[in-house]
Amino acid sequence: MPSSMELPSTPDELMERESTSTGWKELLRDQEKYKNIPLLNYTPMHKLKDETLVRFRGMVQDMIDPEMYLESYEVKAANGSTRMQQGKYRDCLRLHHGETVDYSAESNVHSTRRTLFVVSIPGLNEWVKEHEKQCNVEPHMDSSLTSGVARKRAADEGDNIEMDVDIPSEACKRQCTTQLKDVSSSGEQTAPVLSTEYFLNSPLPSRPSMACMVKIYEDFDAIPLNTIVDFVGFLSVNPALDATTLDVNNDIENMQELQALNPPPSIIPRLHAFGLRLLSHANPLLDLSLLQPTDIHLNIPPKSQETVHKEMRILFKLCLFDDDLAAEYLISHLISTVYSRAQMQSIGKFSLNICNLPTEGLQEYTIKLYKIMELLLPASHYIPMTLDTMNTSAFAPIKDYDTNKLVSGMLQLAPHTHLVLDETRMQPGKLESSGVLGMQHLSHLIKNQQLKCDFKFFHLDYNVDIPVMILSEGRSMLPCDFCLPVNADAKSVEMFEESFKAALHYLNPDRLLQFRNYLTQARISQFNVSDDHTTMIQEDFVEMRKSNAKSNADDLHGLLVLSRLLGIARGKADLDKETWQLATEFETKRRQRLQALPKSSAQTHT
Amino acid sequence: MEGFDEAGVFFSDNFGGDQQQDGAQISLQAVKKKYKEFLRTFNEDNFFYKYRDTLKRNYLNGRYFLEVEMEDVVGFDETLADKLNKQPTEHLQIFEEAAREVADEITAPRPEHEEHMHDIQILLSSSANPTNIRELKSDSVSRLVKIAGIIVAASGIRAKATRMSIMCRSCSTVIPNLKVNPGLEGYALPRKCTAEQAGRPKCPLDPFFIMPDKCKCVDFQTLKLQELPDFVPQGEIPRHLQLFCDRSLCERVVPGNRVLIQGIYSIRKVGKPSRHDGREKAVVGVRAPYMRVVGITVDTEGAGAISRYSNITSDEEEAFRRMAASGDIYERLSQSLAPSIFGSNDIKKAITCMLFGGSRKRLPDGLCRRGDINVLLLGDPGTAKSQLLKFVERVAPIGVYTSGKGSSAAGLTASVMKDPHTRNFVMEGGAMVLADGGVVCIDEFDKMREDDRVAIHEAMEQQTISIAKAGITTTLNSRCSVLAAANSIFGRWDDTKGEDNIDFMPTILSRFDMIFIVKDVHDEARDITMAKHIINVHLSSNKSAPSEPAEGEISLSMFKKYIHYCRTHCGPRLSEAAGEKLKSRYVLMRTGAGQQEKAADKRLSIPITVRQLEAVIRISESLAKMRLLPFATDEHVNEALRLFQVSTLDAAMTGSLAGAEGFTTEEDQETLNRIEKQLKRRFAIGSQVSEQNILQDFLRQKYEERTVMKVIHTMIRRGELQHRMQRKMLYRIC
Repeated sequence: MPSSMELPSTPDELMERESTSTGWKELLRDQEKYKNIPLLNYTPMHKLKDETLVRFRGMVQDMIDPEMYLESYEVKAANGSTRMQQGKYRDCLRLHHGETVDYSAESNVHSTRRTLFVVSIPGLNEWVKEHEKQCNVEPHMDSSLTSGVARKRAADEGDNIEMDVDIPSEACKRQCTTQLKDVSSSGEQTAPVLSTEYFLNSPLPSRPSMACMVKIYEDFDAIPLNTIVDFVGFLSVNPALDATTLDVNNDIENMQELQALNPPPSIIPRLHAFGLRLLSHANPLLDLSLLQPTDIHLNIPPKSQETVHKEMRILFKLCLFDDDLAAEYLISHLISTVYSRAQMQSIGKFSLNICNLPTEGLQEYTIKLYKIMELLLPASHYIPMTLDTMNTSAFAPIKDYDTNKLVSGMLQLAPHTHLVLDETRMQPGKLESSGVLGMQHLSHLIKNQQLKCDFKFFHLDYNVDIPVMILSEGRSMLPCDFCLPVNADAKSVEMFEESFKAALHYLNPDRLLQFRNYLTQARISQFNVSDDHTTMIQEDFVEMRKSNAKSNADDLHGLLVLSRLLGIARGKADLDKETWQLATEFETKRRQRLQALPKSSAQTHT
Repeated sequence: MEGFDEAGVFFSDNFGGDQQQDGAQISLQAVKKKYKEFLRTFNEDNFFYKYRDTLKRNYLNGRYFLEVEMEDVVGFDETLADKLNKQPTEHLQIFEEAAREVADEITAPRPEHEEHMHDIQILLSSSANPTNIRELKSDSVSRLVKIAGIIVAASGIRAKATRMSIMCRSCSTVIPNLKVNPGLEGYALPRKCTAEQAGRPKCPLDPFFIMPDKCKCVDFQTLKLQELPDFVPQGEIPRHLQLFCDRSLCERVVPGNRVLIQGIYSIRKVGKPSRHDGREKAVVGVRAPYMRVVGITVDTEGAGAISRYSNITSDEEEAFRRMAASGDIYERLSQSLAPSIFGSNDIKKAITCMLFGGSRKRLPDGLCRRGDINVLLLGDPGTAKSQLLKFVERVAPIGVYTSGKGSSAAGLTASVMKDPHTRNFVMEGGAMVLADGGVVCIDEFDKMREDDRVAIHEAMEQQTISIAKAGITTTLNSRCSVLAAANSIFGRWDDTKGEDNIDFMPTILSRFDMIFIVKDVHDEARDITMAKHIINVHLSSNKSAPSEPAEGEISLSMFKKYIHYCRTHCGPRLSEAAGEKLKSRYVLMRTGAGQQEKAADKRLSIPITVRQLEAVIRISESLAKMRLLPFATDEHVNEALRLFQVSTLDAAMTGSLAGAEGFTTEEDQETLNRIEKQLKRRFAIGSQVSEQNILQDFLRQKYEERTVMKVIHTMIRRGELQHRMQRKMLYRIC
């Protein structure tokens, strides 16, 4: 059947499919069809009509309580005749001129749906946005596809369907204006109006993200907070959805909450989702559901992971004062991921503290280093740890019970969003209580890869996967898994500006593409340890304990994580002796460097 | 619940009306009779008529409500209770009606001016297990349900009409006494005036207005209930439910209260359809569930009483009884404690005892003796102390985890300082908060500031905490166990230093019932097992296998429930025989410690006092408690004494330098003594030498730096040496 080959283009069509066949969901797996759905993220709103089929990619920032809606309802026409109307996948009840809804009709069906507050992935880097924009298919208002479908629909259902769509919006416009007048004239009734920023609720206020309220109709508990999802569904931007146009029982106390949950659709559009994909990473280059520009993969000869790894080491050596060890640790950090949580431990995290950075005359160094990372990572964020930032920014999300929203914080980030903390910006001074709290949130995040959300009366921990790197002069005040003092000789320090120029030059478009893909692929690859090597590790550990009394279980944890990452970085799928020895060697070197650091004046006797 | 305040809503007039309604009326009449009978005659086979008497007392005191237990109704008439459960809206009306009539009978004759009867509100309560907001489905709509949650917001008190009169503004027709639906549903005014009057134009649309002076109103308040945090699955946001309370239920709770709600699950519209130009367009047909409250129970015994783990079904109860009766419950529990942490069996056993706790005793003079057991873990870093603490935080009914370093209550400030040598930034923390009725896990106890530690003194023994803030001094209850972990003072437990590692005052040490010295023992077999264990943690997770509890292990939620069950169902005491035994052992312990003191010629840092005797009693009680026994027997005392022996006593006995055992070999010891002698010989009392010089000197003689430093520190600790000039110089005092 040719019609079933297309994705449904209106809610009604979808409802029809749902009732007639069960296999229609298969269509969503069809990459070719999927690719051609316009992305709401990159399409200007004025180009999209109400109830068109769109996609939205983003991170689940908040979840709103389930609501009940009329799945189907009886409509009474002026002449007394009744008909049933479907209400799924849309916000507004559809009525023709002169018709009324019979709310108490026996045949009405109520169902539940759930609204997710989704924001476009916070901290998404410029190149990703640029690329995704290129992948986006701009909808043409009169393209053959949409109008064809519309014509078909018209043929199916008969008369004034187009008119039907137009009239409500017109009426709404009028309603809107009258309502607004009402509110402003009544004076004392004007509830405090919430700001656009508050509505948008961006985790990173300096890099505002786009927000969308996605309504899902099944599997309410399948999507945990902070995951990145690609939703497909129907857009709903009817201005009547704005709380200010709702006629509310004069219930002023609830006004703020109502406003927050029904923001103007011009700021936050609604999407009635019928399909979704959980994304394991945010790298658009490796995303099959995006329509890739045709020329992109053709002219690059494929390289083995090992070669790419070597090239990348060259790059980071340039950026890290010619320090090979630091480059290795940095790459390990960039491909690390929490691959499991066993009871209270998060296995696989690799928070890195690059310390001993020379600061004299190198104010710009940390920013330059971050700029390079930004070019390679799909999502990252740089936080200068000044007293001011610490004291004034919101780190963890806080529940606002007045509006029932989870007000976001800087640490509410999607999995694999790299956080770079610049401790070289810190100055001695006073940390206010909010700053102390911020420090606690940061160290909790680093230690457990969990985000503590403040629900006023209690805290809830949410699992996150945010690799943290700290750049500091001395050892960082935050706890880190790996602290590596960089070995910067005077010559390379002097040359650092030239090095960065060379690094940028080294990053030609081909290499950029390879590096970007390499980092994402390495991160999601699997790694095994055979039984033989398990015994080897055990023996090594016993030896280690004999030779160095201070070594303990934590060291073994560290070695296991490091050897895994070193193996993966070299394109290996199993642990071998070589990699294990490399890891031991690196850790020994690192420990030696740590020993060489000046001792704290408070603990000289240790 | 409103709108039934007019007498004579139901009447047994058998004439007229259709047959069906008649039948309904009669059955309602019969139901009312039953309720009346229940209120009048319910007693528990004695002459105490619970509800009749309470109703009378309440009424005369001007409290126009009556609390009814569902179980009593069930006991009285099961079908009636079933009806009340399934059709609460109708039945509560009848019930209240019945209560009013009964109150009328039993309070008559009433004094003058009080002939008019007040309405009686029926409040229901039940001991059933509450459900969760998340589990409420559409099939429980308009049923009586019980849910647990935490109140997060409360509105002000407002008035709601139960009966009202409306008037048409054009023809002045009054429609009196309209019944307004109970709950949050409003009343939709009729659109058209139906009064047909000859010769008058038809009344316009929406002609009615409410006559406020002809309305009957009741107080109401809306609350917002949130799911309890332990019900929320990982990665989910807690759900909410709006509550509607009226009459006597208003102002019973404040935000932050944990409550059990008995109520009727209902649905309401969000926003009314907008009406403009006489057309309804773009209506958003969304509805939200809410709950009409008919009974509230507020959690009064600390924050732990209402939680997921207090829901114990009868099946589970039976399982618990079986577990308690099985002989190996103590071993099983301790094994299930943090199974990912290898070894430390005695410590785990001690923590298991701590989780169950002893019995709190109230002495005749009004003073209390605590039942909570405090445990201190001292020792090497990297021995998974922190992980153990984290686990306890999760398994305890109320667990608070805090780190001594940088722990700070909100509202306190801390300062950031830069260490001049290392260029490291350091943060200095403030005080900490203690929780009532649970376990406080304090990590890095040694890093805690001295004044905070002093504050804990009071909390640990008196079980209260005094707060002086903004001119108000107050005492708060803090009945909690403390589980603290501390690194020995030099970062690593040093056998050669003996008790010098314990850098706390004896006063605070004596408040810990058990003190464990966690040593990172170097032992090949143990190391291999540990390595295997760690690799498994890394690998099993690699295959993303869910960590199922191994054979014989008890799952976390089961553990938690069991603790709750035992703590609430059992308060054992020491049996007489066991008491006798303990008496003699105590005397022995005192003399033993005394001898040790004499031999070492100085006071032990862990004194053996009456406090320790109490500790042993508490541990014995907790052992009986986890087996749900009423008395702690001989056997429990033996185990308690064993635990005490391996913990506190062993810690107390690890005496002076001479008694070095374990890792330091004879040879090492000799070296240390040699260095010390040489040092003393070359270093005159009252003189000052650079530390660097001494080090260099010994290094030239092929001594290890570590050993030399060790000796210097030992001497500093003994007060023989002192640092001078920014720790560059050493000064010999004696």
